Amino acid sequence: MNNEKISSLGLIAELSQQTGMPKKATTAFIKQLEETIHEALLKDGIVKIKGFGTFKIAWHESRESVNVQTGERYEIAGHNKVTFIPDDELKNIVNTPYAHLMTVDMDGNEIKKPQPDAPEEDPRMKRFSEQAEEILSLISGMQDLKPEKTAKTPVVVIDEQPAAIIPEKPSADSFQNTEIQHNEEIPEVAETSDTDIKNKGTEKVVIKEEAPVKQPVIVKKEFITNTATTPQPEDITENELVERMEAHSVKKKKAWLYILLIIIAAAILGVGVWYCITRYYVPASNPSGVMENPASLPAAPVQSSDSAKKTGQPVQAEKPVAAAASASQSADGQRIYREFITTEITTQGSRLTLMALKYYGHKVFWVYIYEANKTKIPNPAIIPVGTKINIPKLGDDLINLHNPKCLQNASKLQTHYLSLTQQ
Amino acid sequence: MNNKELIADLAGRLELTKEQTSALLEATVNAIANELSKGNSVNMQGFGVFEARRKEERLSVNPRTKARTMVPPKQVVVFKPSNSLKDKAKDSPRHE
Repeated sequence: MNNEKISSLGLIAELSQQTGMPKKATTAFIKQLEETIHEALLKDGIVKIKGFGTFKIAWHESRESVNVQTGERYEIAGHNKVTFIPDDELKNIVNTPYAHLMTVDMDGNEIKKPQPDAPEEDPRMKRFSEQAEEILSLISGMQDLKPEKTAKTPVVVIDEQPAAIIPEKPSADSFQNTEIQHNEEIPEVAETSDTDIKNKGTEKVVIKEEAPVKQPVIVKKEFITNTATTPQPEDITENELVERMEAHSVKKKKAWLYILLIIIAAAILGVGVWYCITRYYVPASNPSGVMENPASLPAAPVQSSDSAKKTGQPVQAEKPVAAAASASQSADGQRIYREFITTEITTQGSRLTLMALKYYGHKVFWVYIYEANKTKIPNPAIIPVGTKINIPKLGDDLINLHNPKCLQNASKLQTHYLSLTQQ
Repeated sequence: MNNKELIADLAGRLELTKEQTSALLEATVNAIANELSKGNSVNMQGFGVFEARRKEERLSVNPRTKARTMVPPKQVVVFKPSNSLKDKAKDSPRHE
């Protein structure tokens, strides 16, 4: 190797030879190139040149050092340094004289023997691939043998949903049609459950995949069943609600269903988190905690001391007036509660929200319990110990956890009642 | 600043077309790389030195398999900025 030093002049000469340009031009170019990189580096901190490399300014933190001669400690202040990282292209070109050399194993073994690792990972991978194959063959087998029952594959189950609902559209008003359609749907439900059982026998994974998909389907059908069976003529708001919901669901069809699935998942998660928070985060001693979670206001402990009252009060002040005004519309229609699941006698620590959670599955539905027991409870935040609380029986259209409308309505009622008790 | 911006900037300053500038830059890069591959160092006055450094062969041991391998010698590029560039970079405010 000839370790010569090539100066700018030499470079310029070579450049003009290569490009056929006059030396003057190449000199100007090199000069300008240096200047530009220089300036850009100071300005941006980074300059990239394709096929060459990257110039960077790197910050070096201040550090302590020792003067070797005097043994004195001193600090090297933090400063920037210019670094150059060559591209792979440049690296390869520069390394050409040694490119033919390869790494040699000194133990005389063949290079690379990662065998011991491979069998460890193999069985798992094998299982996965086996399962995948099994599922594939199952699905294809079902499709080939019984083309009618394509509902077995999860994808098709999803597709069935809009089909089941769309014919419902014209029948939303008329009672009879709904019933007929409902009858028509029964075989479908049977069919899907049929396949479910079959799958259970054969392949667990298939069931797992299908389960989350199927749940909403069934929910939907229950919902439809309700419209057909439970309309109570004296209950106008309920019907209105259902109609609205139906119109809504028909409009957005398929896309809406997918969104619904996501919302349901989020809602379930939210409920879980909420439950945990209010369960372990008892509001009695911590008014600020109550404020964070307005829904937990009626969760204030049963009246036993004045302090309970005080914890409730500051939260009520939070309620926006505008929200109360809008909520009053939906709260106008009074529900009539005639059927009751059970009666609870409040004890120390009883809460409407906890009852709602117990009987309806969501805390926000405490409003309905409150409505049914309005005469006994002047203030939902403070329930006297020993009060007999009647837990009303509610239709699925009111307390359907998977229907965001139900939750919305309940929370509207909640804000309404909370604003009422504030006054 | 990436390659494109650099070429655009250079073209503006030199009153050349972007194609010409791009070709010139490529030629420069090739010339430098060529010199470096021969083991020469390229000194750009006032900017820095591109050096080709030989890394000696070495014995490496795979810590997992304990297999010893001989890594062959290689030649790498090192850029040493000139004093003027170093000082200017040192004084520049911290980036990021």
